[in-house]
Amino acid sequence: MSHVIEINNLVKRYNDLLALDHFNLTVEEGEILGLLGPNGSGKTTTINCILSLLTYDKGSIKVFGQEMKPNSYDLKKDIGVVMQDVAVFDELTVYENIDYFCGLYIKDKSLRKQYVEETIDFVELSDFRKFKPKKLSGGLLRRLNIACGIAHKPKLIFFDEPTVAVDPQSRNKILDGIKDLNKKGATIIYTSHYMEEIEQLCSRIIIMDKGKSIAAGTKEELKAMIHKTEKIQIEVFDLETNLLEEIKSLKYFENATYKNNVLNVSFKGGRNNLAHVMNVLSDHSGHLGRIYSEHPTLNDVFLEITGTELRDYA
Amino acid sequence: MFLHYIKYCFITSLRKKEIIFWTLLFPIALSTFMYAGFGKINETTELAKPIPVAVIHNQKDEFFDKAIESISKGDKKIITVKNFSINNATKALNSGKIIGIFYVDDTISLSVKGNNLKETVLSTFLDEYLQRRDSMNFSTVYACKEQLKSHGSQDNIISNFYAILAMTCLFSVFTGLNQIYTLQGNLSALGARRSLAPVPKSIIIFSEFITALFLQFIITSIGFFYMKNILKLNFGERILEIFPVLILGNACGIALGILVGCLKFPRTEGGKAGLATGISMILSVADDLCAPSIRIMIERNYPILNRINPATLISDALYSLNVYETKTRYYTNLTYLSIIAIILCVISYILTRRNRYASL
Repeated sequence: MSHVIEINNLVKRYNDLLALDHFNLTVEEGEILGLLGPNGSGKTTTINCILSLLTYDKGSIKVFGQEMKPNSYDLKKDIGVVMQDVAVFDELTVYENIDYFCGLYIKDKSLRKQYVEETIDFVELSDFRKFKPKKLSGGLLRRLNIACGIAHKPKLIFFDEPTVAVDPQSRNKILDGIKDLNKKGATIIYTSHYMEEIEQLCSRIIIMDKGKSIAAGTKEELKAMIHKTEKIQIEVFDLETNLLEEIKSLKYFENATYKNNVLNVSFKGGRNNLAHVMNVLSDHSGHLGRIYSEHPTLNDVFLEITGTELRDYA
Repeated sequence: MFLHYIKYCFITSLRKKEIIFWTLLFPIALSTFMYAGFGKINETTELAKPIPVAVIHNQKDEFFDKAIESISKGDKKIITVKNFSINNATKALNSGKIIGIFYVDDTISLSVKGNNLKETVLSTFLDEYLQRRDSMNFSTVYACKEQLKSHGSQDNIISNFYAILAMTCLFSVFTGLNQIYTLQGNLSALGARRSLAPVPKSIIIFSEFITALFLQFIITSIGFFYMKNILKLNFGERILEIFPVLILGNACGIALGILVGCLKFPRTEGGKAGLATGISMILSVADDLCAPSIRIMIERNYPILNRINPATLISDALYSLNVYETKTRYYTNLTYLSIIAIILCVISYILTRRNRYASL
């Protein structure tokens, strides 16, 4: 079976700036693919090239097995896009906006009406159907933006940073909604520089930097690529030197520091590392304070590959 | 499908307050203020009585005689012509018995003694007459076959309202600009989203252009009927012929807006709106909207500019409808206007056809 999207050696330049550098990508049917990378890494450029909004210098793009062109109307019918910037008419109400955009794809009037109603329910904007965009809060506006992109029930949906400037409650609703769409059969491409969202949502992740794919895989596969596996931080008062040495002798031990009554220990692998450390500290005569155990994040993956923290860009 | 685009284009345009203000409310307000201003002039005691003048013929000029006749007869006559020889006319002018002397020679000149309202009225009348006459001379099409109508309004004041109607047509640039801004992927997110729809862009452009043109035509017509029926301005008897002028004028305005929207610079919406306003205002000012005699100056020095200025063509078409018995000049203006509208529409269409951009 052919891929939903297949990109080979895509090169895109903005004058002297190389935005995409021989970028390759495949998207399988039914997956939620996350494009993670700092601002300017080429995520949006990739999407715009796939959608044929941008010209590119080299490479090929196929969508549903066919070359994507500006006049590929048969392909466009099955694609939905949720832009980074809110793209709705200020003069139209919530209902009218969704109806307008749905009407660009669905000719049958009664079917369109049904789709619009279902979408309004889906994004939970029923109470705001007569509101104009300017009267909506940031979160509601984002939901309207999503509704306009998905009302025609596309098979392939692009979400380009749909949660920028959205409050946590609305963000969770949006993410839950995207999962729902995926369950209903839509293939989803999700871009963000929020690694937590990508981790929470995506079945496969591509990390981008400077127009290149620097790592790809499931979140587990990505984390397995890097050296570090687990970081443990414990507040320990007056830690005895012999206990620290005992911790250093534990299996899978990588590194330990003790400073300002805080003990940081990292392990390369293994299980139950925290339990082993706590077992050593049970002989400690002083008090213990707060305890944290942190598994590696995608930021650690990015840090290890590029030498820069993903957070530094955001 | 087509109806779907038309329906929503109609709704969005009608709810766009800026467009309604500039294309409907502003022209109505401007015409009302102008009407009030001229009304006041007419009502002043100074102009309550006709202005006494002398006309000295060194040469025969049938058109000028008819123009003089048109403002020296009837209940609202502006001047009274006194018969004097050259010497007696000069004496009468010096003694204040008459306010001005028109000398009809190869050119027509005016001699006045003072610099007051009455003298200004005479001077404005002459300027306006010369402007119209020069327009005829520059085009062989107009020739001298045109006959001044006896029933049309030839007063100078109505010309200002023609200029307002022309300006209203050109203010359709805002509609065209708004249309293109929401349609081009490189101008707005909304444009990008619409570019991704599985619909040929030409269909959306065409349906929205037709809708915008219809809407702007209605709006301009409301302005026109306001002037005609509320302000009771005399636009003559050929009302139906006015509408093609308004349609073509609006088509020029919308296409001009699309064209400005497609320009690479300025890049921002505000910058483009500023440029569109500037262009439409310059064209209107060149059509004597704010100050008289600019048009005649252009006609004398760069006549081609008057042939390519849609505002001048609109005003002149309306003027010729009202003044001349035959429609030669009206059709000539309409032809020029059509050519400009077609050229602008074709350029706009070519520029908007692009679907893929080097950068967004």
